[in-house]
Amino acid sequence: MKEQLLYKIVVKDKLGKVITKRSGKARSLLRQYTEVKKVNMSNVTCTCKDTGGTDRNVGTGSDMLEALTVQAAAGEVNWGTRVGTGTTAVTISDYALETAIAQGVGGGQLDHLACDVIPPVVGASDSKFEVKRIILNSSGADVIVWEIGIYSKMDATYFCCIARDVIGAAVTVPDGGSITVFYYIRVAV
Amino acid sequence: MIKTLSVEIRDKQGKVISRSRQKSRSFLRAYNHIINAQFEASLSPSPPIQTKDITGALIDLEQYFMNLICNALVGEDEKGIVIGTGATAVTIEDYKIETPIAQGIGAGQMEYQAETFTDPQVAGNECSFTNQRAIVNNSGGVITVREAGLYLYGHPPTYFCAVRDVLASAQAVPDGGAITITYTLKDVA
Repeated sequence: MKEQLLYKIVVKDKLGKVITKRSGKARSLLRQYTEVKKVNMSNVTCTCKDTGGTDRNVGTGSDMLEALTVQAAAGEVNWGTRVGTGTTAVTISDYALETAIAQGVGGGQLDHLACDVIPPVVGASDSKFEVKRIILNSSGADVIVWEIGIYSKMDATYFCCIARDVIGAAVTVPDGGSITVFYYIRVAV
Repeated sequence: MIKTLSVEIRDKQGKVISRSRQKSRSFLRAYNHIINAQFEASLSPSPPIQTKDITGALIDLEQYFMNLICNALVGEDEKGIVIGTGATAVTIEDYKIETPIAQGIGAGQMEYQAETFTDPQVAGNECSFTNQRAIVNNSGGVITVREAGLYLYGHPPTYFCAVRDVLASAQAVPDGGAITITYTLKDVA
């Protein structure tokens, strides 16, 4: 069995009532995920695009301490789960969300809470863990989300996009509401 | 991430006498746990991320720059691609090759060569690299290989079995000959 990525999205209104739920197989672990893991495995550097589209030499040795870090504090959007408004189909060479929604409470912005990484749960034939982030809409108006993804640290200095998914239909996050994105990284025999 | 496993057998003259390829079914629990440790920003995650190393000891994993390293040198049989004679079906909880073939030139032993990697290559919507190791039989007799796997470094310093596969058919490696195992790791958008 391959390594799988799954997602679930839950949208709540300002009263905390669930108004949208969506889940599915994520199609799109991106080349940066392959490349950073290859550096980790071989301890030989390679080139990888950061979230700005610039080629970086992924470091080796102690530079790799934080490679693949996804867990992020509230307000941190260089790494952790992100959402956006882009609708262009995913390609393996995508290096960022097409139109990532910025951190904040201004028009068109969302307020990112901490991105949590939950320890794995092992079943009869699989092992999976969860990456969860709640993102609040305090912008004063609805915000529409079309795409989701995961940014991680590439090494000690740079950040990269390791997953991007365009969800089947847009979800509207009402003012005062929230969107919670769950990603599950799963292996099975 | 998808894996395929290729097996090539050569006789003592270097002539290829067998080639086979199969889907690799089996990322194991330890692999998922090490990825989880890298995703977490903490050096001492709480609750702990626990999995067994190749000795069966339960380890509390930590994020570390050497996690996932498997660039084994000549003669190293606790890191990199490892082969064995066990044929028991894979389970998610496997923590080692069932019956590893030890490094050496004694009866039932084989000589592990250095691990090699290719750089990640993009083709269409896929990104892949290969991880390969040749293992030479100078034991004086035929050795039959039935399983292969991948041992990775994880921190605190020890080794973990990330992958185990039972070969689709047993492979007899003649005295003076060699087996070459190639894992291709691929992500698809």
